Amino acid sequence: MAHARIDRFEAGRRWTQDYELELPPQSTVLDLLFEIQQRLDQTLSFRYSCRNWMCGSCGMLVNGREQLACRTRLADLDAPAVQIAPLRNLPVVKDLIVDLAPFFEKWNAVGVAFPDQSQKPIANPQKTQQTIDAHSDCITCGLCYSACDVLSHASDFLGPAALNRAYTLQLDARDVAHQKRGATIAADGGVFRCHSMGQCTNVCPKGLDPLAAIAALKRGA
Amino acid sequence: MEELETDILVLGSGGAGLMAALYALDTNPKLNVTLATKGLFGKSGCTRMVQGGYNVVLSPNDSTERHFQDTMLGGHWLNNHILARTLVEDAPVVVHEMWEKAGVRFARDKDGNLHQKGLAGQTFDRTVHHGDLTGIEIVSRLSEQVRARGTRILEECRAVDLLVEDGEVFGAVLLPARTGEFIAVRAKITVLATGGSAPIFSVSSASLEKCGDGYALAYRAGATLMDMEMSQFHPTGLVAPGSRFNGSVIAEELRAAGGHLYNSENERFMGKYNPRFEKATRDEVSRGCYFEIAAGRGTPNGGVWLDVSHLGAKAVEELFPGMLERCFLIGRDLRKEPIEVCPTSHFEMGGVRIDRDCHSDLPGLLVAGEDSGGVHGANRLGGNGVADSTVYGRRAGLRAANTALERRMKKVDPSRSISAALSPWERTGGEQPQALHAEFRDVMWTKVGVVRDATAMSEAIDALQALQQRIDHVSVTGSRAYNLTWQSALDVRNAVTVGQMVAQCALIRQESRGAHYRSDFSSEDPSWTKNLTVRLESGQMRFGEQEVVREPAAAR
Repeated sequence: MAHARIDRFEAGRRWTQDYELELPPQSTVLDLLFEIQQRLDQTLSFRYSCRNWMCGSCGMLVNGREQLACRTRLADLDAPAVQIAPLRNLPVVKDLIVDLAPFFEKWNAVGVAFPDQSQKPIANPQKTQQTIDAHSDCITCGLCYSACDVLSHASDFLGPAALNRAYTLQLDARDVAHQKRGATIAADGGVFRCHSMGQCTNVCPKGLDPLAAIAALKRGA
Repeated sequence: MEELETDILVLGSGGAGLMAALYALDTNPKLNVTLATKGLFGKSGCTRMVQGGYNVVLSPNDSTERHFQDTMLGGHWLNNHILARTLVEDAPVVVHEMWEKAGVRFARDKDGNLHQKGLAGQTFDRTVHHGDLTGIEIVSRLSEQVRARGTRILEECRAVDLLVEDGEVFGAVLLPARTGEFIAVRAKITVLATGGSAPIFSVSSASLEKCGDGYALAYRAGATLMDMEMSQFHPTGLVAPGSRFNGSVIAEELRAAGGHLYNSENERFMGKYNPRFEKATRDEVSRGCYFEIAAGRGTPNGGVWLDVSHLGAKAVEELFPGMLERCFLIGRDLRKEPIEVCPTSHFEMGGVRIDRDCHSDLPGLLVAGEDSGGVHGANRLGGNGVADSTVYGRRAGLRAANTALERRMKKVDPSRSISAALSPWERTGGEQPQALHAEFRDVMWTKVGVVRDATAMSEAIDALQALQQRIDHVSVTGSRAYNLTWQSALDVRNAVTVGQMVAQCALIRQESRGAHYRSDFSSEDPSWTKNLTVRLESGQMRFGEQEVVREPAAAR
């Protein structure tokens, strides 16, 4: 028998709701949510899409830690009850659904800029490429943004995901906005707000290390 | 009700939708482009989930003619020849532009050239990739570019119906999940790029929200669809009983790299079905697995065993990090032991009939990516899917930009579409849509799945007819905002329409060809080298045939 405690939110009202249900042993938190929604409570809302930790739609707090619901097995939680809540540092829209607009506004603020070139492709040196690779494959799930202690009291901080992306762009020889982005990175809300607590790196479901990216940007700023 | 006007309305934010928006804006930055997508922008849909890569001719030792021949052979010559030719000829240009315009990074070899690998059904290693996360890289980079250009993005906003008058399309009625309040969008050109319908079967690899919306929208609008019987099953879906994770794809590269399939008697069985063993095309390997399972030689959970452990732990870690992690979730270690797999619904080769510039039959409606039919014929080769989405998404964007200003805008009454979408709110105590949806998917899987016959499909068609009527009695409760049950009621309506097209066309095609296998007509029949079409006429689903579109002699 699984016991779930879920933070609910709708139209300005907040409450916690408990559910109990039987589930197959392989079940993930996403399975749990679907079963609750379909069998017990049609009003529960949550996000999902790929169920393979590729889209990053189902980020939430599971027993206080940022997780993707599709990647988290109930059997691995080792707790009598599973507590589920929306991500932190982002406005809650309904139940477990948060508004990702602030996250993407900051992503956009570090600006991508690739000129349309018809000539021979510019390739990065292999070593640089390896560094870029190590910081790529972000799925913009927002887990690092939620886990960031700085963002919890300084909402203008660009945050780990945007800065990690900025790092890959600053290294990329094809990009043409290094100078402008460099100013954004060094300004208020940029890298120097980071206190190097490393929660971003701890929760990344893709094994990325935004903390290292921010440290490298600080050295270069 | 909110109303919006836009020059170009793009529906969908997978590879096709993103490319359409990007190229429309870059062709004419003055155009007003609106992109609406059912899930989160750039996160829903299937391009994001591409693992294998992108088929493209880059080597002087390869040729577009060879890629074309592979594509046609894979498709059993049911492909529209012109569309297949366009695919292979545009792909090198598109890959180059994605690299330069959007910063998409593909893996490179030690000399700095794009690394290319081989997938099943190819005679040359022509698949460029980004490890086994190619889709994330492509969609993330394209999404950034579309955002950066100031496109109006309406995310978590499904299209309920296209707005049609006198056979012309003038936009769409949208339903944002967040508010539950409809928006009528008037557009000069509408680009349909919502993706396919793999989850109409109960075991599926696709993202969970997909249900064939684009096919159903186009059908209700009066467009002609083709090849709908051609549902592709990927042979190696991960078996995870009782979990939404069930059916997730274990990448084709595992077989390409030397992975072996075994039945419960420890027999490497694929040799019985094809001399290429596990490197045969998806349809052939899927059937091999299916026959073993049906003959009682399956695993405890109804699959077969896929083993790559003989490649060595280091190679598995390096080559398939994503797949290794995926298997850990079900408690299996790909480096050391075999995993249970079974065929999983993966792709729909059929779709809206288009020409090489993405025109449908309906003026004002362009269609690209998996919503369209004809490119892949009876079977799609791995690596040709994302090529299709981006090549034709780009073409749709260019075409839309070049023709939008010539077209007028028209206000079409959306009230019928809205009342149909609201009807579940008018009842109480009706059936639960999600339960109905699950029942529907089981019917499709058991009776119209990997192996088909007339008896089972006739039963399916009757069952679908009954389900269609029951949809009119579902009810929903709660508030309209982010109401998953209401969304499911809209999903199942579209899914059953698509299921009916698939089942009916599959019953009509009395042969086996590519992904379509009939146990009662088990060989390919040359007289069936033609396409089946389906469209809505006088309130009925009408079926027809057409000759395969071939290239003019001068062009060959």
